[in-house]
Amino acid sequence: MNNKNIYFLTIITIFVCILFFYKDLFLSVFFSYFLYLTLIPVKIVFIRSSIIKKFFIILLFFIFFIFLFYNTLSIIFLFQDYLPTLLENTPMLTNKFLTFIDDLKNKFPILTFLSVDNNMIVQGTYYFKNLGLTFLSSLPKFLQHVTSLCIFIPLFLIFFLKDSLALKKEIYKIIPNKFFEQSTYFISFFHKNFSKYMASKFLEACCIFLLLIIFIGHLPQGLFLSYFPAFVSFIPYLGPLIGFIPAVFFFSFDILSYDQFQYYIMFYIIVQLIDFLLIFPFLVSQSVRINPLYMFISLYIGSQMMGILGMMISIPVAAFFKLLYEHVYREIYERY
Amino acid sequence: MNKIKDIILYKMPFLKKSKTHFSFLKKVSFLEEFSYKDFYIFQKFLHERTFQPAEVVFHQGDLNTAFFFLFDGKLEMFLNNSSQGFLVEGDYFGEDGLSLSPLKRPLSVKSTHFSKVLVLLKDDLIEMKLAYPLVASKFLHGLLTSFLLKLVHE
Repeated sequence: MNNKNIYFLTIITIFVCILFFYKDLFLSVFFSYFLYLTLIPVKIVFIRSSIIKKFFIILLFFIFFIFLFYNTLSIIFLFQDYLPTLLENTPMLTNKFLTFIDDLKNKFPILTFLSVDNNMIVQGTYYFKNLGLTFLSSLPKFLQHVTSLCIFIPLFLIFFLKDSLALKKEIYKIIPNKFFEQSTYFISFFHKNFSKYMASKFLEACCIFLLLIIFIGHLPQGLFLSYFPAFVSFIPYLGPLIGFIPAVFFFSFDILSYDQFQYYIMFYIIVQLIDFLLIFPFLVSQSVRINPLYMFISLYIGSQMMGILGMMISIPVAAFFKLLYEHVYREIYERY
Repeated sequence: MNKIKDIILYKMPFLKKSKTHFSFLKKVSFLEEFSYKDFYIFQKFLHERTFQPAEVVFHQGDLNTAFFFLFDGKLEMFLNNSSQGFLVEGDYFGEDGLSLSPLKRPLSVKSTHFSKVLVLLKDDLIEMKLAYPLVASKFLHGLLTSFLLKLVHE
């Protein structure tokens, strides 16, 4: 092993250690890289239309900063206001959901299979109470994380947008000559594939947001109920379920009435069906060509290793490993 | 003697006549249509690599994804381990690395002295085409013209 290889391995190890021990930094780099990938097509359009690059970057910084900070804080404070009173009245909440299910059964006889026993109610209430208490106790730490993310993400995003070429050059510099061409090929393949996937996911999220804002935008907290499901749609398969949670909370807080909640459920299901049947197959599936079985396996492995974050990146990473496997297989096949 | 000279110049580059990427690129024949701004943009996409004597730049049959300018030094080409000639400062090679379909390297290239090459990766060219289409098209036009002229002369 020559000096350059040792240097290369040392740099990689230090970088991984820093990211491992400073999770906020890791998350900031990660999310800003996500955002950068989704913004690549926009960046090229702006360069082509000769608008001053710096102005665009600064504008982007402020829009993201204000948007992320304001919305996240407002929703967190809303939860902080409502949750303690709700936790004191859990039996009332249980009754509310039971009445809601009975009402649904009366309106739609097809749902008569929905049966809720006492044990389920007790367990559900206990789980809800615990979830609420954990949220309240971890709120200060959570706020600290959110604040640091809100500051670091736009900063890293600016850096990625402005100096991505220089950064790439510096990264490529540490690769030993022996692996240079192959490594750059795989890195650029991963980058390209990830970018394509993220751009299609971003378009999918925009479609979901637009459809939801048209149908349910007029409801109380309609804006949040539209952009939150769009945001979590980046998580494959689990996204629609997570996106539904805020509506349940808003219904519990009495921000949404019975009728509004029913109306929301109906249109939420319609929008998710449109996404599942029309948007996803045409936009996302075509961007990453992997067998659905591999997709599920990669999702499972991703969720086990890195949780929700792992699920978000599992599909493009699987595509990368597929290419790596094909390349190695071809090399071995041709050699022997 | 030459080897000692090479080592001295490699270890103490300030003894050498200063040469920048810009001044080097200006001398490349097929880039004559480039303006000052084009050179500035173009050199941002190039990666400098340094090779020691006898170090392999690429092997025959390797993945082919880059185009090279020989910035400094001397390289030797091999086909099935038999020498096919030398490449000297200012030469360029690996044009087929920029083609859209993935190809394999037809030759091996080895460094005979301390050499520096400027590498243009295919993906960087694609990025250049998207961000700076005029520079990319000027480069491709120049490269194609020089290739056709080479064919005519042969």
